[in-house]
Amino acid sequence: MIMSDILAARSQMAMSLGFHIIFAVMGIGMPLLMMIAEGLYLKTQNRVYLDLAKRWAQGTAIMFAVGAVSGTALSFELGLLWPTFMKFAGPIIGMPFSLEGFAFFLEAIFLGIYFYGWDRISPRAHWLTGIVVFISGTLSGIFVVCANAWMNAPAGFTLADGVVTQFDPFKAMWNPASFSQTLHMTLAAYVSVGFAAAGIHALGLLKSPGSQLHQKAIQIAFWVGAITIPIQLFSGHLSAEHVAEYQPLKLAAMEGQWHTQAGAPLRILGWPNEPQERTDYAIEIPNMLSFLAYENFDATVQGITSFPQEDRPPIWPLHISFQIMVLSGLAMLGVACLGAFLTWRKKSWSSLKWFLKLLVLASPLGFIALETGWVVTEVGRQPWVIWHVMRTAEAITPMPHLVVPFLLFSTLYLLLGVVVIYLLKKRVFHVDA
Amino acid sequence: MWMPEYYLAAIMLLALCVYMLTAGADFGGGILDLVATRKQRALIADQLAPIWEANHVWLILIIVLLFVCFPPVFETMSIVLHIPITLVLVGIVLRGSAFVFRTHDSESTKQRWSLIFAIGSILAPFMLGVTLGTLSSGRIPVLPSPLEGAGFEFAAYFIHPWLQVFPFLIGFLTLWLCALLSSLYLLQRAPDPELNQAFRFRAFIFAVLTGLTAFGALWAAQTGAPGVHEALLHQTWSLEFQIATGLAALTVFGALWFGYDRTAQIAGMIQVICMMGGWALAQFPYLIVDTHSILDSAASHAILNPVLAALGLGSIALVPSFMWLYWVFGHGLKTDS
Repeated sequence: MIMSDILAARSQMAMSLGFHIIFAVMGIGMPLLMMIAEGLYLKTQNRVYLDLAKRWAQGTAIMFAVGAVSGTALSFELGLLWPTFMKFAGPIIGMPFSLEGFAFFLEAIFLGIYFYGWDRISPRAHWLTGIVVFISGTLSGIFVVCANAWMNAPAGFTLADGVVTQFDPFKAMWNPASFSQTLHMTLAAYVSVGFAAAGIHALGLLKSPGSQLHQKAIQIAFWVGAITIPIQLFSGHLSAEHVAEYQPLKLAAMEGQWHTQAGAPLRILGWPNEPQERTDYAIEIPNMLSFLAYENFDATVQGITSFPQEDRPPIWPLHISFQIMVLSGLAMLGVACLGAFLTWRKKSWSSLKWFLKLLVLASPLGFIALETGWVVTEVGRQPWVIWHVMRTAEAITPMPHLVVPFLLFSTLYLLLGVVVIYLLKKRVFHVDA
Repeated sequence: MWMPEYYLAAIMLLALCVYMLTAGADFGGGILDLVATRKQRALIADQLAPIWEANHVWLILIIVLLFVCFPPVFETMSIVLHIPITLVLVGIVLRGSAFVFRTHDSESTKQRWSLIFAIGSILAPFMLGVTLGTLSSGRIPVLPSPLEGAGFEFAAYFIHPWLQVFPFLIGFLTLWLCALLSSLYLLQRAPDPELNQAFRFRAFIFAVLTGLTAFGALWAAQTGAPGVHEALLHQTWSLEFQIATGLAALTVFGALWFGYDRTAQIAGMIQVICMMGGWALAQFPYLIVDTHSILDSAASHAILNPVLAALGLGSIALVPSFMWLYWVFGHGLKTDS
């Protein structure tokens, strides 16, 4: 046995979600950038904006196709890997899934018109088509995250002897975690796409200085990221407060808080030392965790050790991922502030090579924060698939040899990833207007 | 008495029909792509590009409705048919990606993406047919309850139910129907007579294969899917079903021969609807023959009613959007010229 079935199933799920989410987020964020560019073209009649919108649309077409097919795979994989979970949860979280189906339908229909209808409908109708794509893409993300939020904060049903006797699909959809999770994820899409696009075009501008297209692209993408990142940090704080209230063990693991403590410090970086039950090498800010989690410097924060061993998630991946997410977010906030400062001082970015290089360096940060953030959400929910209702081990399929599909999908997605990067690289740097 | 179970099952069948008629034709485009000339390939790509992703979403809708409204069916299917469903997914991922890569990559690589596009387009509908055929076969074992800790003999649970003649014939039937629908559609879109003749010839071939395989499947159903076989031959509606399907099939041949291209396409679509309708009637009231009936496997009305309402409201937005998509790209049926 190369890998236990449960490990293979979890790895396949994590890999499939981690792969799909990149493309899903592009499908949410890129339409916003395209709408801004095309809107500016309609307003100013400057062809550069039109070229930009078209070039972004070409890249998005590739991303959307891969996102659509990997998303289809996911909806089946939920059953292929976790049939017991789906049998139990399917009807309860049926509402967000059904609504997501429709939102995604509209997104796909209008994207088809958007991508291939440049010369077939009026410019204004074309732009409005993009608006529908933007709205339905965002909604479809929100619905899916509502379903995930229910796994963290299961609500809207009554259990008797492990059997659901009654449920309210709307209460399940608007569960206590829905608001903070959907807000955090939607903003994450704009932040990630904004910073990624700004960095890629900064690289383009460094390679071909004076390019109008890259300059305008940076302006649009950077400001989308720079405006959303401060709100995102605030929304992250809301999420943490939610986790503190509903999933205190998850919070303790994220923060490396081993023992229950009044006036707990905030730990930055550090390595959770499981045998010794402490977090080594962390920079500690006294009383800060208590304040951030409960708005009271002396509040008591429950520690990992106050929970039974069999209920604990893997600690170090959680703590490290959380640190990476927060630091990426803060780094992006720094870059955003710097860009705002330079604009205020009326510096032209195109002549500031160091700032362009900084944008290039910052370009993966949004996606790094996105992926590590999902590790925190999902690994932090372990060993439960539905928090305190169903364990992941109970949900798995009886199908053996799950390492085979795991390797199959991993190879497939690895190859697709390589091709997508190669094609996007060609698209972005192909002709420099 | 209010029975949303049956409405939802009917909507799923309708969605599956629409999926077959639209996305099935898109799959067919990929099948035809396997042995296509450069000009034929260009026509296929042009026709597919704007619409295939929207057409594909029907499958997502069907699978969501299945796990929301009939969760035990989704559970059993996902467990026993893990292998064929995985192959469907590999096909879907390969063809979708290869298609968009082909559009955006340079000339020199087109050949390679075309091959992957074709292979994926064959694998997905074929294994989808195998999956559906197995659901009708009556060979799907009842799962022990609870699953945890139960013994599962690998071949008996995960291989033998679907590795049979009948499901594989349904797989081939699905494949030929996709290719037939696609040929019937493309021959109307052909910009010149030569291309029109090429796709007309393909339509003939796939119409013949469809007919032969349909009879083969009916024969294999005697032992491979006895319940369905019995119903298709000896129900009150059996004769009408046979006549309707046969007439539609003959019309396809006649219309193709005499050059009524649009009629041929409509007859082909009716043939598909007849076959799927007959199949659904034959296995009524079962979703999985002999083990999972519509009523017994349905979820609570607490979710079925709101989902029905959502489907009603959603289609108000969906139907005009689809019509606009098809209209923009001239995908309405062209009149005979």
